Amino acid sequence: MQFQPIQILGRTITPSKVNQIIQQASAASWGTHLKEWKFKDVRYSSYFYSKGDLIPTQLWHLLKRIHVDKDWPEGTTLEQFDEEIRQTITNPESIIFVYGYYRTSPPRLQWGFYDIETGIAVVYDEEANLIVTVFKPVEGMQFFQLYQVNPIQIPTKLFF
Amino acid sequence: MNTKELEKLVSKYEGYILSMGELGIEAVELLSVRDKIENYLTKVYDVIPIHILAEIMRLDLIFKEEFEIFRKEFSQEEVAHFQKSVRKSATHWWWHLLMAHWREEIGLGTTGFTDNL
Repeated sequence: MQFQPIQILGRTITPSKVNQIIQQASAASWGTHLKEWKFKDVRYSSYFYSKGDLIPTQLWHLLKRIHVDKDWPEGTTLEQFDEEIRQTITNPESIIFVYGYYRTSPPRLQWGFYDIETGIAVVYDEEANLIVTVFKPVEGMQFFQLYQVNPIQIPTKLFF
Repeated sequence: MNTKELEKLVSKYEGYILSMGELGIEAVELLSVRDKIENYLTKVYDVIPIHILAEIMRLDLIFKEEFEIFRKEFSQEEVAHFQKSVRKSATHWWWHLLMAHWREEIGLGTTGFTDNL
């Protein structure tokens, strides 16, 4: 059985495109803007963060996943978080979705990577070449499968 | 019942409530988290510690009061998609509010919002 190219938002998704996205996403960084910390006081390394503090996006996500969502263990470092993201994206067993993100006009193409074993979901914005978010959805891959608009699940087994 | 699991869900719920207006793609996760909490409430309500119930009620109140901020996180395409594919709005007020507000906005009124469920 051959992988048939898929059309979405005027783009053609081929196996080589998927491989290119995996490479890009696994090397992508987070946005450079700062996000306001709105939760209880926390500590990372030797720094303390309180309500109202502005924190780099990646660190904000890590601290929220540890202290608010409680899905990552205390003491997880940015380097470890980065490695888990990279593994989720490059794991051949991860489920990959592509879909339109309709809160922008025109809609943007986003890619979702979901590792069934760890429950980690990574959202990558192709146009911005940025990691949008990393978290553990409570309904697993339904976050992509059910709640995104017309998501396409990439049949990775056909070409990995 | 695993109280720790429920406490973790309530902590996530609070995290999403406090971030309303800037949830981005995770906005729908707030609804999923509230769905999961509801599973606990319907199955084991009688044995949930009172302080957890009080916290859920407190957060529900904020969620309802600030629902307009939350609703604006979604596009019409997304809500239309939920209307077709998510079958929870008939029983859960958080889904109901999202659908009903949207239908009102595009002039369909609020009656019969479950037509497609």
